[in-house]
Amino acid sequence: MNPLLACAIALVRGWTRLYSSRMDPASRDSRRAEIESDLWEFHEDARRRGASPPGIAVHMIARLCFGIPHDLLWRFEYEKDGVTTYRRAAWLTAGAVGATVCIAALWAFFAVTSLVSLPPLPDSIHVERVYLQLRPPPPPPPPPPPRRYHSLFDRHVGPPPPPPPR
Amino acid sequence: MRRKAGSLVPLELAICSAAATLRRGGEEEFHGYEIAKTLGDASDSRLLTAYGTLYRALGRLEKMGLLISRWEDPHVPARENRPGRRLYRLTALGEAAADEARRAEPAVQKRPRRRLAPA
Repeated sequence: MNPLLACAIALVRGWTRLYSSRMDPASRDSRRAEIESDLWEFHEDARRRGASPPGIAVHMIARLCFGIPHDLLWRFEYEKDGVTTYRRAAWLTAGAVGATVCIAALWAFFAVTSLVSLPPLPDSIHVERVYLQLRPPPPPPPPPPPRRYHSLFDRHVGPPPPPPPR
Repeated sequence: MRRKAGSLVPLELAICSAAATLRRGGEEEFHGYEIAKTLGDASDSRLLTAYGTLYRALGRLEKMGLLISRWEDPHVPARENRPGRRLYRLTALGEAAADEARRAEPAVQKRPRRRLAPA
């Protein structure tokens, strides 16, 4: 293949890859395949008509250059549509999350109050009993000191008095 | 060129007219290069419509519902050893737009290409 023609084809392909990069795969591949088909059809048609390879290359480069503003506008339109779609998707997602949270809150409320009987609690009392058994019993309280009453009804306060002498 | 919403620029009208001409000639579907060549022959222009200009206009016409497109069966290009074509078809709305364009601008004459007169 003529080097100028190869260069022109590479230029068209490279530019198409550049401005269609970072797009969704369907739009990107569709545009690239369409340009590839056009390149092939144009090249075959020009070859059949007997056009010279440099002439074909110049024509390709001219078609590329004149179309660059529209390629850029096409990409900007895609970005603008993409932002709108993204915002719409964000609102839809937020709405779905909010609805899910509301439904979950309602379910939890009814479950706690009446609709669902809660399972019995684990035997924490048994655990407490074992815990209490493991603890040493408290020491017995010390005995109270002997009490000495001094009142009118109790005359024997202190040691008994000696017997009277005879 | 700024356009009103829903209005067609001259290239889009020309594409609709060319597609209608192809349909009258028995070709229901056409691909991008084919329409570029038809437009070039109609305007007697040596330079075909640029890639970006042509495919952006085709995309807009499809979005407006004047054209519909499909990718051809992948067996056909594989058999013919060429890339697959995206085939466009003019809708009834596109046909109406082409008719309206033909009626609205009857006075537009095909401008002959300037050639040097022989000495």
